[in-house]
Amino acid sequence: MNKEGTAEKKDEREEIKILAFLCNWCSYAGADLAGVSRLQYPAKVLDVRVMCTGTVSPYFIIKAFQEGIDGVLVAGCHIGDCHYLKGNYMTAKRMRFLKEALNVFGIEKERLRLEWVSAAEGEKFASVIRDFTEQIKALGPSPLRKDREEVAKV
Amino acid sequence: MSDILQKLKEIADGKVDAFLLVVQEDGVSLPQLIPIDEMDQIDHKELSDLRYPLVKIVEEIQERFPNARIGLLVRGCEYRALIELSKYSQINLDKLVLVGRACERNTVEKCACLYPYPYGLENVVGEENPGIEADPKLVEIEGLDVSEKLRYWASQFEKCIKCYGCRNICPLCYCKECSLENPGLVVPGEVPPTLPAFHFLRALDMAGRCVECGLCEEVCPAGIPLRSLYRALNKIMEDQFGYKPGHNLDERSPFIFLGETSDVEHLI
Ligand code: SF4
Ligand code: SF4
Ligand code: FES
Repeated sequence: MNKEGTAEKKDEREEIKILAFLCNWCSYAGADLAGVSRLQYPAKVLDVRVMCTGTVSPYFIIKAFQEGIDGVLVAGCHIGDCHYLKGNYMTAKRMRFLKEALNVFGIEKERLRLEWVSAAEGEKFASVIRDFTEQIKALGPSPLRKDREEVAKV
Repeated sequence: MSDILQKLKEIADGKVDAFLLVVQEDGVSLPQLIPIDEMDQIDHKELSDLRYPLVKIVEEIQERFPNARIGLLVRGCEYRALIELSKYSQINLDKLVLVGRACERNTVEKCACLYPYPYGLENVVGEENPGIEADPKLVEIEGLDVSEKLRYWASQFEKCIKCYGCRNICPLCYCKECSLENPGLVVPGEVPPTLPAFHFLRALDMAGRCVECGLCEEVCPAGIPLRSLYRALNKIMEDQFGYKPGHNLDERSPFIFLGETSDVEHLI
């Protein structure tokens, strides 16, 4: 019992947590399609449905890292297809900037990813998730995770 | 000193209702608002060298008395702050009469200033001194690899006593509701604040807005190199979007407006 408990805890530490902000009109539907089509992709992704990727404030992403998320995916409509016309223009600018900013902060920029996935691109969604999960696994758990004491011990 | 005041008086004559100056009295430097009808007082005033967040007072005066015309003496950083604030409709430049003031060499060095001159102003007193080439602290930070950077910031932010002095003194911080006081983002009463929210949120907000005056760093009781962090982000802003806060009245931060001007083709 005790042994099992420890093993479980270790697993939890090693497990990668990915948070995905999905735009309601495209990528969320794309994710749905991937599910309906029974495409295989790692299930350990927490998704947050947003009305438009333009509503994803950089604050949310910093907060996600603070809460121990290892990687953040932002996925929305292709440029030109945003249902609010130019919401994803702002996303494109913000994410491009934020990636470099994360690097300055000491968080690998590869932990943030922006993708355009339409409602018809179930296969693309599945492959993005597969690929991103691999990428984050290679990087390892986030240095900001509370179960990792490294940063605290300076 | 007093020739600077004379010059200001000459230029502003008849165009202002009051002067806002940082003066020295009995060894104490304080901001003073001097109405035009007491203008002869100005002859007896001694101008202070202290850097003071005068711009914040101007914001407040303009909010309460939108028609007041004010005469000001501005350094490079103050002029940039006024320009940047006017883009966010927080300052009305039309109601200000500005006389620039070039910073002396020792001030430039003490402030580690890159642009110690109010470029673009018509009337400037003093000789233009070159700014420093690069922020030495930033050069040091840029030499670290990504995990060392996080450890570096963690060791710095651990010293924070959450006095909010950095925000309170910043001329560009004008929001009535501050994200640093949002309990969902920053846990109230927690000292030091958990990494990364407090400082990285502020840093993100200052990107493309910070005019690098260095007041935050100067006021921080914990000696955290705040401006160097904001400078690093301003550098990204310049690389990616060619935007430098406070340098050009006609350009706007790429994060303010969407509209037709948001050219993203090169991002895709
Ligand atoms: S240097 Fe500090 S006080 Fe000055 S504008 Fe930038 S953030 Fe504000
Ligand atoms: S001035 Fe320094 S100690 Fe005070 S809140 Fe800002 S960073 Fe923290
Ligand atoms: S509605 Fe999908 S990105 Fe704006």
